[in-house]
Amino acid sequence: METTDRSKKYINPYLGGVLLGLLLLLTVYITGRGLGASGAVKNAVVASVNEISPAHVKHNAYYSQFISDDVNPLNNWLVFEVIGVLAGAFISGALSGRLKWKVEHQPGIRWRTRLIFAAAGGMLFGIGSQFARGCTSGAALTGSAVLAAGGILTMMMIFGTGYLFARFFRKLWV
Amino acid sequence: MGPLIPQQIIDPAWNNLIGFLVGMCFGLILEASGFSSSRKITGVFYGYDFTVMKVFMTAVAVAMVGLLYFNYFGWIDLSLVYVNPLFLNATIVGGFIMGIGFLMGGFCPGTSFAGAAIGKIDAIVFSLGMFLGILLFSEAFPLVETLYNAGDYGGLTITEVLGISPGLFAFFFVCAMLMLFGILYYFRDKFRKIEI
Amino acid sequence: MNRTYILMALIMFLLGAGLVFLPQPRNNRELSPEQILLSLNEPFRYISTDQAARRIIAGDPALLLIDVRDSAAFAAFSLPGAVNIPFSHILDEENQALLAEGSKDYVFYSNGDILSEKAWLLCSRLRHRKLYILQGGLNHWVETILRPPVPAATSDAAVFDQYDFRMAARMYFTGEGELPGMRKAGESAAQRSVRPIARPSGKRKHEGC
Repeated sequence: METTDRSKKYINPYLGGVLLGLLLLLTVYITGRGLGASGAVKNAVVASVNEISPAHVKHNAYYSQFISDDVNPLNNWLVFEVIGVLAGAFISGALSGRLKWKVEHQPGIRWRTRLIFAAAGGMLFGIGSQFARGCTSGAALTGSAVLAAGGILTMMMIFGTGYLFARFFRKLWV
Repeated sequence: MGPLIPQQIIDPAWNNLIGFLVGMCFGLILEASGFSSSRKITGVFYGYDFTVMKVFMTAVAVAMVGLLYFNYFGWIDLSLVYVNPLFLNATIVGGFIMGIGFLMGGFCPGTSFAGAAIGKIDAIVFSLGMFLGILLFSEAFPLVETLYNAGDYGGLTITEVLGISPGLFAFFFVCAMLMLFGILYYFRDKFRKIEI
Repeated sequence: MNRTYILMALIMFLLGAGLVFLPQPRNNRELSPEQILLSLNEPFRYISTDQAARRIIAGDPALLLIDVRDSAAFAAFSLPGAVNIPFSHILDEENQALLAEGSKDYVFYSNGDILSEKAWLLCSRLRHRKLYILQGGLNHWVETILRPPVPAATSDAAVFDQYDFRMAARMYFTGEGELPGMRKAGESAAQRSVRPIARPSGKRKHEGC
């Protein structure tokens, strides 16, 4: 199926899926909860704001949920997991020679446009993941695997919205 | 028997190390599958690359079926596994926002870290944007608090919603997935290939 | 290549089909004794009378008080907004269905807290969530909210604040201003209007993804 020279550098997507599924299974088996990513950023935000103004954190109804006096919000397994993701991706990139500073974008747009949209997309993802209590990995992937209604709804909403509105952003990618 | 940490079979002190190791495997798989490239990811929406769908669906199916077998053999107590709480209104709004963010940014949080690790500047910018977004959300929290807490159903599972057994749902999911893969395979020449 | 895919798809299909016929064990419906012991040591399962009063006054929609005494006692006196589920009927289907919704904080109370403890234990074992006990029950409610003791003059400000709140709550619940033979009005808290009391935020911590 995927036999062109370029895609050969990546592993077979079905193999990747099975490996990811087994990893998810193992993670749930060990920790009782699944993979995640946006939670770590949230903890980083809480930690940074706490560093600047602890009073503000105590006062804000959102931050204060995630803070306690004896535990640093960065001392959280999700944060370590994300550090692991960085390490693992770096290893994989190094092994297959993909380490390179680069702004990846469709040739028809300028790199500046790409970066602006990347920042905007990241911002939206940050906001959305707080509403949905998780992002693609935490809510959609893990949530669906444990049959959580919220997870499956999140998955359908993300990809459904993606397909419905794809045409408006076509220029960015194709 | 499982899950191990909630039952204190493994001391919670190991949490962070396990988190790191799990994350490392996660990062390896994401990068090796090509999720460090935003154009490869968004291909799923424009029909030139279906890697995301293949990896995602397979992973969900394997984990879902695996967990149910684990439960059947008594290796894991599924009732101790964290089920994401459903906040209906908030999830619909959040999912919509994330969908748009996906189209604009080309990454999701996990994949942006994978991209950032191999030097994709757009991925780094995406991660910083995410930081800003969460900051913004938290600062504006009083404005959105009602929506954030609206439609609280607790840790509801899909089988409770549909009223079918978990096994049956998993079977439907697997069938739907295999059918989808079959369609992708059957029409593989119809899809436009573009050079990424 | 093609053959591998077909084989993998077949394996996946069979594994999925197998699940339809395998019964999922339901032995996990009840908590094990160890888990119950663990949750019994959890202090968060109590709600103090002050907390309860605050939330009743604030009209917290996420609070459901459950009176587990018999219906005669319930008719004689009950907390505002409470529903009556006599302890002997706690396992009835409709009562279990109410608890299974899990959409509110369910607070059991009885005269003391023996009966509510029993109700809590039974329902926790059945894996209902968000169950709480009104600490000290109605007796404590009367002692603290309806007849709050005047704090000693040397007490610190927090104690007086609490007293002021209790007097305000007392007025809210009984419509009476002063306690007979107790502190004279003057700057008494009884004359203050009930301050709006914000609902405690962050009732549950949601880990993101």
